[in-house]
Amino acid sequence: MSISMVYSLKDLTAIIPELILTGFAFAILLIDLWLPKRLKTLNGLLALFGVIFAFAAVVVMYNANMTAFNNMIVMDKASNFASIIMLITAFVAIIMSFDFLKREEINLGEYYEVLLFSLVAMQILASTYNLIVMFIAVETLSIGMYILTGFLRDKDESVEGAMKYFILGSFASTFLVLGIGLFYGLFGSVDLNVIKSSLSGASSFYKWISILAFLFVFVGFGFKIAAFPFHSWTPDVYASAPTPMSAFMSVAPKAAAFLALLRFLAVGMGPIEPNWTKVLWVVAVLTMTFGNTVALWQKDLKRLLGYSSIAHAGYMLVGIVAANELGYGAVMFYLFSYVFLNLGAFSVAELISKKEDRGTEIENLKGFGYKHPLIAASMLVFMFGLAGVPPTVGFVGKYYLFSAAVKSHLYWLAIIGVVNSAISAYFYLNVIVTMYMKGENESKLELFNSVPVKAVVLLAAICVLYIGIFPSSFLDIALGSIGF
Amino acid sequence: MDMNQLHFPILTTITFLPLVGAFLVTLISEKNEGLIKYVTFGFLVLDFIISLPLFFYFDPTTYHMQFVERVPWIKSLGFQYYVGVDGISLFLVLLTTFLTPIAQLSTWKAIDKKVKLFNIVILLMQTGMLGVFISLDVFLFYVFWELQLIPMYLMIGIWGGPNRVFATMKFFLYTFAGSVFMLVAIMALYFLHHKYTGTYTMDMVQLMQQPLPHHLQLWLFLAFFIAFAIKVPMWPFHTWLPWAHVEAPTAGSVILAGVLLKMGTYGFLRFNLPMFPDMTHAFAVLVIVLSIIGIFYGAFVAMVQPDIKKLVAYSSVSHLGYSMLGMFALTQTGVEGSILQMVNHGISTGALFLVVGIVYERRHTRLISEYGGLAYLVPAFAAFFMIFTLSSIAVPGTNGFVGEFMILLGAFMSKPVYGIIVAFGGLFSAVYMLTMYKRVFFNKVTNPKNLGLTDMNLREWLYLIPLLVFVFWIGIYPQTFLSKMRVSVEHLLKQVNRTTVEANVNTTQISLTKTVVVKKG
Repeated sequence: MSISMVYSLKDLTAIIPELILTGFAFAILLIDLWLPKRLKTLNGLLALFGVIFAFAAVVVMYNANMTAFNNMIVMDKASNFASIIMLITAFVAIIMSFDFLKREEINLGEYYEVLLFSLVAMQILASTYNLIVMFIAVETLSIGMYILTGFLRDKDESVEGAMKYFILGSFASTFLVLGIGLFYGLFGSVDLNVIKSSLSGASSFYKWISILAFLFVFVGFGFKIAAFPFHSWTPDVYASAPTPMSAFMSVAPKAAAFLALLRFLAVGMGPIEPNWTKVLWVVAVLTMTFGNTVALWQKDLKRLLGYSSIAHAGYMLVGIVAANELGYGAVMFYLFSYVFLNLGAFSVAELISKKEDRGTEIENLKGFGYKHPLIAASMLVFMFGLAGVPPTVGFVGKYYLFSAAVKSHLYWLAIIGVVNSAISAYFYLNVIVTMYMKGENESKLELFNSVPVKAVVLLAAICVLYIGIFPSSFLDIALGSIGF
Repeated sequence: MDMNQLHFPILTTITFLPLVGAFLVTLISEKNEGLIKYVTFGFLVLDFIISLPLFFYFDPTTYHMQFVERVPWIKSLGFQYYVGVDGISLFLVLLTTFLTPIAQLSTWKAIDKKVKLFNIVILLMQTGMLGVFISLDVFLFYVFWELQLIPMYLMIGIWGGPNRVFATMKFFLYTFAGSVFMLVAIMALYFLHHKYTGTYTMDMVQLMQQPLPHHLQLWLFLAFFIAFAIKVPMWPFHTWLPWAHVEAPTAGSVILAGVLLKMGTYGFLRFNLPMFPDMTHAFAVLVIVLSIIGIFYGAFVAMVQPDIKKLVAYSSVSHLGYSMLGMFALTQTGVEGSILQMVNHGISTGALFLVVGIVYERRHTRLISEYGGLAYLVPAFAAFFMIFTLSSIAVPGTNGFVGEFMILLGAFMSKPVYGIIVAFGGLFSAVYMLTMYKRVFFNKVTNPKNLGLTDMNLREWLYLIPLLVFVFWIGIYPQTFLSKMRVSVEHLLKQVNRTTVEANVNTTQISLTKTVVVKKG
């Protein structure tokens, strides 16, 4: 196989959104040098525009179905849908960052550049069938995340979180690259379609080695999606990273990693489906049960959301284990719904946080329901949504994940899933209990005075309810985005 | 066959009108408490008035769903916004629209904090409850079923008594855990229907007609059973109920007893009986035994309660045992009695919670030992309390008598031994209710704090009289109500008694068994 290094204009059209983002990132890099300190918000605005233009490009090319760079990059509905999720997340994270960076006095241009570059890496990760491209994308986005986690340089926890994240992340990457190496050794290719066709005719010995390779690759991905037992970085990192970045990290890289995992499993590992569904069945059960159980004891809102995000990754794995089109579509819809639920909840966490990003203990929410009725009501919506109670989008998402499992006759998996929802209801309700049923008239909690964040909270709550009640068109798009 | 004789979306209107009311209330300033209460009450009364044509235009000669509305909702999966009522749900819808304004009126003075939020919650609850009773799409049903948990959760948790947080958690987690099993069963039902017919639908009427093989019926029956048994609540799934009742504010208890518990019994009638007929027959004995235990257990525990409200709460466990017993007697009279008893329990127990609330508002205690001789001090109140007590213990002439008598009769027809055992249950309920009444209202006035008690005011008269009317109306001329449910119940029993379905679905399996038998022979 010879790889030609020549590429055409057609190749470039397939990565227009990524090019736009890269362009804006470089623009920030240059402009930041000349900006006086008081105008640093301009960086954020530039990043915001970059995201908006990229979003427009994705929407315009939504139905495009093309491959580029010798089949290394694909642009299909799935990658575009994932891009939409990531871009909405980035949009909100940037809005959240404006006032945050000012308060923390770290208003630096690098923040937005790194954010945009890692966004590019995520989009590449979501749009490839090539294992090496996946690896490079995973590494690039991870480096961005490590930097952003430690961005609060004066706060020890932040630095410590970044360090933990980096060390564990490098460890996981080693497994990923080892797995990829094995696949290349076995089949002489890193293209998932080639691996698939070679694998279906392979001898049983090759199949066994492939299962080993699959396990190695899964360790790498398991780390990115925070599946048990590769989850241990999540709560520390979410709790210590700047809140807008915790919000960003809990959704965008997951969307990319889940789609890449879907492509890897559904396409590349298609011939050994019975093997990987068994492994993932166990991982899914452990992930959701672990996440939910440990979340029961959390006292800090950001840590709670960290553990809850582990549990939610477990739910999404249920959709993958179901291994049918409904399940894959459900994973996409769930990621989409997760944007509003998690961004909303993290935005509330940011609103109650104080300087140095502290003060997010759940105890601080006492009497919150009466002091700030609208924001608290939104939080109530997010909590019921994360618990999966109708009529929120969280219920619709879970409904499809579990019904995909039932469709594949995985009744026990579905039952364990719904029992987990019942367990999770406890700690989400605990937040509501604290807001509305404790310390009614003694709340002294002042909100972080950021109008954009408040707007994000309200808008997210409206979306959670609106999409929860009228999910039809969103579902059609999500279910229709999976074509492999 | 769809019919909507009014050619007007009456069910949608009554269900979502309270939601409109809730929105309007959010716009009123928190300080204007009077206006908030009047607007809420106005919406609830209007809702009741609009629901009345349901009764007058209801056609008792057909078992088909009536006042039907059908709009596609999630098209790609075949879910619909599909609503309608038959002779079984009709009275539960009317009971809801009738009881909620009464409950709200009782809060006029009792709720003195967060009045605005309280009234919003009551309006939302009305929407959720009505939605459950009118839904004919299973997915829609489930959405409403879960939705109404939220307002009740807030109501107990914010306006409840000292142990309210524990009570709300227990209430929410119990019922939520129960209903998640139902969710899995609903999914399975949906895919099974597709497997047998090739169409994806959540249409309750179609799903009811789908015969299912025994092993599937078994699991699905059990999953629905758990959800509904917790909601009813049947012994031994009842432990959340006394907590919720005692901690809830009066209006919360009235709605909980009057309507929410009926969602459980209604669920049995809508899902377990028609969809899994073979398992219904198979489990009938077990359910009846649990019901009988519930009847006696509730009565015995009620006897030793020092707190009037807790006593009434445990009496609910006992009364709903009757309802379940009548239902699983699987006779026309038994099922009709069961449905009537649901309405009766809503009226009588609702009324008892209201009168307990009235005296609690004045004295801030519900301990029986704190009272005595009230009949001399507050005669009108004592009279009302007496009538509701008599209706609760099923004295002839009151609604309770008709319901319990029909249930006993139905049980006798099914198996005389059930009837004989349960007849004693009625005896015990008389013991604890009358003992309580005697200790509170007769003897001498021993506690000087009671001397200052005032009798009922106009508002209290106003909301108790309608309940009184129904106690006697149903008690003296139940035909008005029974005639409307007869055909629907007949149809339900026809579904329950349809021939065993194993033959229809698993013909291959049967032929295999035959071969084995032949070989052995």
